[in-house]
Amino acid sequence: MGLDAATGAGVPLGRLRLSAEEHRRLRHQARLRRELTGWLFLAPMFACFVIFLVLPVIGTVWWSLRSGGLGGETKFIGFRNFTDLPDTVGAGTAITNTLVFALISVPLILIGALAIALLLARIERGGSIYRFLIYFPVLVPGVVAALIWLFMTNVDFGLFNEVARALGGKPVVWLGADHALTVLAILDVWRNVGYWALFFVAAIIGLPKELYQAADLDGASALARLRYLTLPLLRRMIFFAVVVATIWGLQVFDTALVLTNGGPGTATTTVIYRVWLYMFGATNKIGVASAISLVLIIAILLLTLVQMRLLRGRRGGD
Amino acid sequence: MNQRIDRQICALSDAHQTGRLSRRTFVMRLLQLGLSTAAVASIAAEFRPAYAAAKDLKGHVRFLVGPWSEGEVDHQKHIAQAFNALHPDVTFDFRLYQWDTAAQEISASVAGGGHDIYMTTESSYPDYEAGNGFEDLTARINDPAFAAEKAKYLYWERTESYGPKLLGLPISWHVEDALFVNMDKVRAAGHDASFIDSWDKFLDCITKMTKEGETYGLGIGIQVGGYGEWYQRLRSAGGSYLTPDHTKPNVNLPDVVKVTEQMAELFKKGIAPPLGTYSYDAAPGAFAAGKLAILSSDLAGTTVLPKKVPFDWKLLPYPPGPVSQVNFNDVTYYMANAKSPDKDLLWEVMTFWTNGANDAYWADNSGTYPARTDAAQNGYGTNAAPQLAEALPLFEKHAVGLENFAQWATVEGLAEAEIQNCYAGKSTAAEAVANVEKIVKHEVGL
Repeated sequence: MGLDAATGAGVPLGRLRLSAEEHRRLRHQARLRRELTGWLFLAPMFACFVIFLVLPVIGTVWWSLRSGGLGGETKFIGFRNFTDLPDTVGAGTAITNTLVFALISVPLILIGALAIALLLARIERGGSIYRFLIYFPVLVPGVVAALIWLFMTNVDFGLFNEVARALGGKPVVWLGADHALTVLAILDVWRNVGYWALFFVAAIIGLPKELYQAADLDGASALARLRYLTLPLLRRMIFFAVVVATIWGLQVFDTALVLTNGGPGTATTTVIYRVWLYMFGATNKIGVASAISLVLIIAILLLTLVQMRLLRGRRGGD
Repeated sequence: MNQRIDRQICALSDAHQTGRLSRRTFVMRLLQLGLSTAAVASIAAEFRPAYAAAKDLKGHVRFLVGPWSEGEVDHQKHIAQAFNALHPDVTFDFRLYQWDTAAQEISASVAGGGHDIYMTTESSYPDYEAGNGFEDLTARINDPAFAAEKAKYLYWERTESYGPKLLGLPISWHVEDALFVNMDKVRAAGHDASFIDSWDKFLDCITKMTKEGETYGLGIGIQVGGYGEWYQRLRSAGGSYLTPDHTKPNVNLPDVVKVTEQMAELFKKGIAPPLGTYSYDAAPGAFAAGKLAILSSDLAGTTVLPKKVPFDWKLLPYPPGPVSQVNFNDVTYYMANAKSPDKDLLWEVMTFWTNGANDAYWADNSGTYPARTDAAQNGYGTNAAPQLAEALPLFEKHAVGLENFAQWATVEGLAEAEIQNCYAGKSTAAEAVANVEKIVKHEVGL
């Protein structure tokens, strides 16, 4: 229905146009409708955000200031859960294990993913098959991946030791105190390299071809093209990948639980594993688990800010 | 009762089929059994114990239980069928929790009224005693009419030590760590079952049984935390996590350092496989394959060992420590949710589930020991590995339970991991024991 037809019965003929006031009112109503429609579409996501993120974080803060458990009474104890943390036996080991894990896995994942992506981007026929094969470990849940690796690292009949024996070597206790954390990191590389490889492939395919044609004409080598074209052009992607992979690396848990149960001893006890231990394997320690979680959230936030600052500096401040 | 009759009929039938009973005797015995059963049934109907609920029970009972064996739910359903023979209008639902998250799953379920009857572990008992989630069964348990029945349950003194409220009926006591011993290898090493009489003989035996690249003498440290492998050595050295008055730690003692060094030496000498060689699930297989002459593990291993192991094996306790010989065990209970409406029904179900015959049946199939004195006469040992029933008196003799403080399980999990760092050569025995003492102080808040 047109605006002209929307005039009232008492409006004299010849005056079918709306007044400025009516125009304002209609515009306001239309804007309100648009706004409401927008909020309506956003509402499910917003509800999920509040229910699954905001409320748990608020709950974590609440628990971190209390003692007691789910089944009994709780008591407000101020910041004691936080102030007691430095005296916790094994806290240093858990932090060291987590950082070592991230330092091994994150660079290997990203360098490996970039290398695979550069190769995949050059494949013209059958590329999708290779991409699927590379991506396949990403589809495997952490628990299943850990179980697969439990078999592969078995001392008596595991794949790794079969290869070692075939090459004339001695069997290795892969999940022993000396190697378990490295095996855990390599498992993480196996699981995540495909994800970032596809991420980089998509970015590489989208790079402007004319720049590479110009570089070819100038006689640039493949290494020079990588160093002066590909890496600078991918810097935003790489920056994002470094930040996200680091955050994921610091949160390692499921594979540590299934593959090594945090052991032997505390060899693979990470910060999140310790949180889980206090949350589910201990009596009335939810407050401590919450305090560690909050400290980890803040640490990750600070680390991300530092990474952003460092990488931004390298990009020349853009 | 039904299971007992069933067993007797099966035994008679077997005897007849194998020719040990004539047909005439078989029929006569069956007749006698039928008559005696009828007599007992009529007496039972006349003189139902005062604690027992009304006969016409109705309702739905939801269990939350631990996964003791792969067939846990089937074993529960088996007992439910026996119950339904008496009370057909009661229905059941069985859900399993995971061991690693048992305490939180139970707490959350109790708080939300999710289940009616819970299988709980002794390590959480102090926590439950302090709360109000579980029904206080003291009046029912201490009812004079229940006295004769109560006398058949083991370890009341342990349960009563946790506080004035009696919250549960014990269904089993579980040996947390025992030695699965390949007796063929023990004999080949020039020893017999008495090799566990002293640490020196024990060490000599497992050293001789070790063959490089083929067999380790003793598989220990198979699972991280929580099943008392080092804890019972601590107790055998006269130590404990806390002093009896719970005012200070009782860990860092010279004898405790000594027994820890003894255990760590086994790894240094290559008698024990390096930590991480065998997982908890893989270890029984390694024992059955002869790669471990002795396996130190909990008795759930008896339910997963192959039925026919190609050698003679026994279950034995650890050798004595400097102070005493200790076999660490804990009790499993059934408790009722205080929020569940029909307490009489739950009491009837719990007393049925923990009676001699059902206690024996469940313990038999879950690799634990029954918590009833009358379990043996009700068929305990019928389904289990015979080694389990054979070792019962030996383990009972040295049985020591956990300490009565709420953070025991937390401390135990962290302490065993800390001690494993010593086994892996990451710390000395003295450092590890000192760290355990720090853990005790920190977790208990001393």
